[in-house]
Amino acid sequence: MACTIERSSAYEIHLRDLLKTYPRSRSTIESLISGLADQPEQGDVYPGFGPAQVRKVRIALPEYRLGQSSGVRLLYLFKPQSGKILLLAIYRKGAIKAEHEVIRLIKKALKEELGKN
Amino acid sequence: MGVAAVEGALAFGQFASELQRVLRGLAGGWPALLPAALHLARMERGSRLTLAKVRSAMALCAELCHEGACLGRLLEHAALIRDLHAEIYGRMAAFPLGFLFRKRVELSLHEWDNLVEDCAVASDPEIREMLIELAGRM
Repeated sequence: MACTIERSSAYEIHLRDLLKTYPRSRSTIESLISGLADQPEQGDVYPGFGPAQVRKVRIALPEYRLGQSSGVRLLYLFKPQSGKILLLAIYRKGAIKAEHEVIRLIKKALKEELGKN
Repeated sequence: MGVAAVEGALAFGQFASELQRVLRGLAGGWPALLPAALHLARMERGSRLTLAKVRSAMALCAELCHEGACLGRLLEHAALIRDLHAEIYGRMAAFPLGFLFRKRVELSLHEWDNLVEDCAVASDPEIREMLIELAGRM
């Protein structure tokens, strides 16, 4: 059975911003997202969330000659019991040692989704 | 998450020693040229194997763990390895055979940076709390 995919408001904003820079990659990203419905367990999984799965997929943007390592990251939450996927954030891989920027971006996205802002 | 900590610590320890040998070789000048090149060649394989071990342990733990308490420790190990890679990559330009290894070291550096990012995000207490809350609403 295909999973239901929901998009957080932060994800929509991230995607819009990303496509301003990489407009030719819309179909690459959209095809990966639609593929998640049938294959929700993609990419790397973050341990420690029990039955819920937090996953990160690295997406290459061949239209811009960006490989997986320097391409785009998609972070999502997958709950197998309910068959639901929530897309949380999508962002371009930044410089090396820039994990603090990613943490800031994800915190902002999660706070928006939880209505804590 | 105990499995990941054990597996990760073992693999990280061995690989960190390997990277230290590469750094010493790179600092050794012409006499250490060939040994340094050999260590660099082995480094790529070591990087792939270590990352594969850590990733498989993380995937194994994902189904069992509800705390993620070990991720902080994994983050320390991964950040050390990533920083060693960055140092090696920085010295590549001055290494006479650097052109042979530069791309491979760069790819390894990106992979380790990716692992550091994953551990940093997944071990952040505020992020964890919010993700668990969101999962509860789904």
